[in-house]
This record gives sequence, C-alpha cells and structure tokens, in this order.
Amino acid sequence: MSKLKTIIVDDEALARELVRNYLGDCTDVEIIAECQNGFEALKVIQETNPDLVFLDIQMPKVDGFELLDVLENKPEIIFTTAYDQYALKAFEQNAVDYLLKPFSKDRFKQALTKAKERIEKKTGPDQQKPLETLQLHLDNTEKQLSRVVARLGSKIIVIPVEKIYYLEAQDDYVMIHSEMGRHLKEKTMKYYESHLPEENFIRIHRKYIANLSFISSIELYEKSTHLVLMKNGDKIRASQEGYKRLRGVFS
Amino acid sequence: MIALFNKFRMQFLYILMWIVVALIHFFVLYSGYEIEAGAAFADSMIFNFTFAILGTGLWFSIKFSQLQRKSVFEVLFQHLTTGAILLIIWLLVSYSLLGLTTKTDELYSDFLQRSLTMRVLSGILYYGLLITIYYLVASFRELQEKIRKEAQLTTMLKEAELDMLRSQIRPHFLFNSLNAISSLTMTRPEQAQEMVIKLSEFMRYSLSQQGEMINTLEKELYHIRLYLDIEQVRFSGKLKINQEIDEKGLQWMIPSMILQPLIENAVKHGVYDSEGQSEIKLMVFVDPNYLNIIISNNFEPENTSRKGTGTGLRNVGRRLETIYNESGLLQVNNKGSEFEVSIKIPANVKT
Repeated sequence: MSKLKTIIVDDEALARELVRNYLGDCTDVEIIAECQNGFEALKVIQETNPDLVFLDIQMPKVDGFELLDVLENKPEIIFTTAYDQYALKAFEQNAVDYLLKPFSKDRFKQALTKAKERIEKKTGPDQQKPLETLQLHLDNTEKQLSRVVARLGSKIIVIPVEKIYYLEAQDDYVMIHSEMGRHLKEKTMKYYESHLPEENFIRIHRKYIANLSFISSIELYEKSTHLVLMKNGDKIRASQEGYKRLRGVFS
Repeated sequence: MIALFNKFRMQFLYILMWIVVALIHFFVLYSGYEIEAGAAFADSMIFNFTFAILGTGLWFSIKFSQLQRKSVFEVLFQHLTTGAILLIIWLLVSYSLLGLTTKTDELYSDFLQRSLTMRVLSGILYYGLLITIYYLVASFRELQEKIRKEAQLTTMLKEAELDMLRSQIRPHFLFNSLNAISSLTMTRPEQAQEMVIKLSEFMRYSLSQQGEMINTLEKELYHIRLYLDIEQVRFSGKLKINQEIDEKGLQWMIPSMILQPLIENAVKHGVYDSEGQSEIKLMVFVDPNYLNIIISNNFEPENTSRKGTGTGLRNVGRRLETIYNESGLLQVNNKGSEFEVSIKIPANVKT
C-alpha cells in the first residue's frame, strides 16, 4: 500500500507542529505540505491531490468551511478546532472526525484510523448525503453571511456581501455578479435569500436577488414585469411581487 | 413638605376629594333644603367622613382581591355584598350619631327621617365612584410596574448579550493556548512551563477582577503583557509588539480590565484576521489633565468583514463615561490600514 498523503492546515505554527509530532511514528503517512491559510491550502491541495487534510476552522479571511466549499475534489477531512460551535457543521460537511483542541494522541490516532478505513473503502464524501433535518437545523442556526467565497482556478476570491451587485439563478447554481466579476456557486437561491442581510438584499424575481445599493433605476417593461437597471449597467427583471417589495423599501 | 406630599400624595388627594364633596353636600342642604347652617354642617360632616373612613377599607379589599384571579361574577357578587354591608354600617353609624347631636331640632329630625331613600341612592353612587377610582389607580400602578419590569428585563438581556460577546474570544484564546502548550510539552518543555505559568497568572487576574475596581496602570499593563506574551508564542513571528510608556503614568489609577478588550480587539483584527505580519503599538503619555493610552494595530482592510466590531469598543466608552462623568474619553481612528483607539483618564483620580 502506498503512503497516505497528508496536508496540515492551521494558522498557528505550534498547532501544526503538534499534528506533525503526533504523525511522527506513523510510517504509512506522509506529510506532503503544511499551510498557514486557506489561500495557500487551496493551491497546494489542487496541485498535490492529498488523501487527507487536517483542517483548522478559524483562520484569517477564509475559514476551513469556506475552503472546503470551493474545493472540487474533496479529500478526507479531519477538522481541528478550539471551539465546539462548529461540530454540527463539520458533521454536515461529512468530515471524518472533529478534533477539539487540545486533543490527546489517542484521540488523534482514533481519528486517523477512521480516516484510513474510509480511504481504503473509497467511500468518497459524495456517497453519503447529510441528513435533511441536520441541514434544516444548520440553515436556521447559521449566522448571516458577511462574505461569499468563490474560486477562480487555484485562487480563492473573497467577495464581501456589500460588493455583490445581484445574484442570478442558473439551473442548479447561483451566479454571483459583483465588483470582483462573475462567480458560480453550488447553492440555492433560497439559501442566499435567507442568509444575506435582508436590509440590503431583496428577492425581486424567481431568478434574481438584487442588492439595493446598486439599483440605479426601475422602469416598466411589460404588463407585469419591470426592468431594474443596475449601476454596473446590467438590466434584470422584477416580477409583480418583486416590484411590490422594491416599492415597499424605497417609499 | 413636598417630599411628604409626594409620599402621601394619594392620601392627600383622598382627603381633598372628600372635603370638596362635604362642602357641596353642605351647600345643597343649606341653600337647597333651607336647613339651618349648624345642622347642615353636622349632617355633611358625619355622613361624608363616615363614608370616607369606611372607604379606606375598600381600597385594601380591592388590592387583596386583585391578587386572586377571580371571575367577573365573583367580583360582582363581592361588591354587592360588601356594598350592602358598607351601606348598612354607614347609615346606622351616621343616623345614630346625628340622632344624638341634633335631637332638639325638630325640623331637621323630620328631614332626616324623610331623606333615607336619597341617602341610600347617594351611598350607592359614592360606592360606585370610589371603586371605579380605586380600580383605575390599581391598574395604573400595575401598568407602571409592568413597564418598569420590562425595562429592567431589557437591560438585563442587553448585559447578558454583552457578556456573551465578550466571552466569545475567551474560550478560543484559552483552548488554543492550551493546544500550543500541549505542542510545546513534546519539544520544548521549559517553554511550555513558562507559558502555563503566564496563562495561569493572566486567568487568575482576569477572574478576580469584577465590577468597578480600580488598579494602577502598572498592574494593568503587567497583565496585558502576559496576555500578549501568550499570543506571541501562539503566533510565533507573526506578532510584533511595540511599546512606548511614560514612567510618570504608571502609578495612575485606571478602571480594572479597561484595556483588555481594546488589546483583544487589536489582536483579533491585527492577528486573527490577517495573513501577514502584524504590529501592535501601545503608547502611554501624561499631560496636565489626562493620562493618555493609545493602542493601535495594522490590519488588512480589503475583504475583512466589519462584523463584530464596535460593540466591545462602545462598551469601554460607556464604562469610562459612567465612571468619570465625562464624554469623549474614548476615540477611534481608522487610518485605512491602521486602527487606533485612544482613551483618556482624567487627572482627579490620581492617587
């Protein structure tokens, strides 16, 4: 059997060192890289295609979940974090395990064994679907978004919500039009409708959510449709219902 | 006198009300029924003040019955019975008292006999008016109490919320520090021990500080330094500390733990949310009127979420304002890539 390729991602050097030390006597595991932040990690994971990643959740600018969100071929993940507020979300992301800092070597080995079993069985993360109730619970408890993270090649693009012009539904995806350009996300319109700050973002159409700060004018288009002109020059449609909502906030 | 009036305001108003009623009563008898002034006066006095005295008991019966939740019928029944009893006692007492005092006046005795129906009717009217007023006063008081309680609840909630916000950084800091120590024990046990001691000393201090305690700047700075030392070990080369402290300020008294949230804020934005090098500057200088403390940190303005800023700072500002009764003691200066908070401690608290 070939060695297990592993990457350690943590913004604290001592935390990375600990994982490295714990892995010291595991001859079947090879640490191929250590990363200090999500930006670095995305690049390295894409280039090296590891089997397993030890991932810290709280890191500057892009957290562990956001990194995972933009990865295409997801390796097995063991989250390492100081706080248990993310346990549920980690579970939903189908992580192998969730290690609360500080953790013992025994506990660490246990997680590693679980990871090895999963890799051998090749039960990729996609085969197991999270429970629906769990997802529902998460959608309700998860805090409001302050940024959206997208990927462009091996670069992570962080889009603060105040720089988003509007969102457009495209089949199973959502296209985010922002100051940073256009980016596709594998999420639903409903998710964004409930997670973007509601004082700024309004669902104006089945296909569109607009940021009020970027609307320059509204004109009548057809009998039941209005045309909303955005400050970046794009024109999007507002349904009867959506127009009512717009009038509600502007009056 | 005014304080006395405020305290017994209800009682004064009650007496005043009955004096007015008694005066009207007197004039009605004196000019309307042409009864002699002396007899009219005695009549008015005895009937009204007997009722006034009996009426005070009514207040307590209403207060008491409000404590038990009763149905409308029960309340109605209660008032019919108490009303009837009160009326009978009132009439018996008044008639016998008047009978004793005005025996000689035949014209008046005759009027007294004939006026029973009118007395009963006016008694019912008084009773009705009195309980209406009582119920109004009682429900008004209840409403005020409710508003007061609600206001109290809101402030309590707000404080709990602030506590929660404050405690969000702490567990993070604590467990990450413990993890760093755990890592150090494997390779550099001496450094691990040093960090355990620093962490313990810092935690002991912050747990012991509560309410409005004051400490010397020196003592506060010592514990801030412990905190920063720990963070420096966690983030190795990433965090640089630069301090410039005027020795003259060290013995000034400042509110305990007032600097800690500011430093935590600087670490959060300068270190936790930045990828590159960060520098925290701490400057203290004394001018004739104030002790000035300036804390600044560099940060990466692009793509940072503005969430979570403000509450902690506002809290410090509010605390300073209530302690020193002076506004503007906390100033925030955002210079694009450097964030600076300065606080001023007025001179009169110096020991």
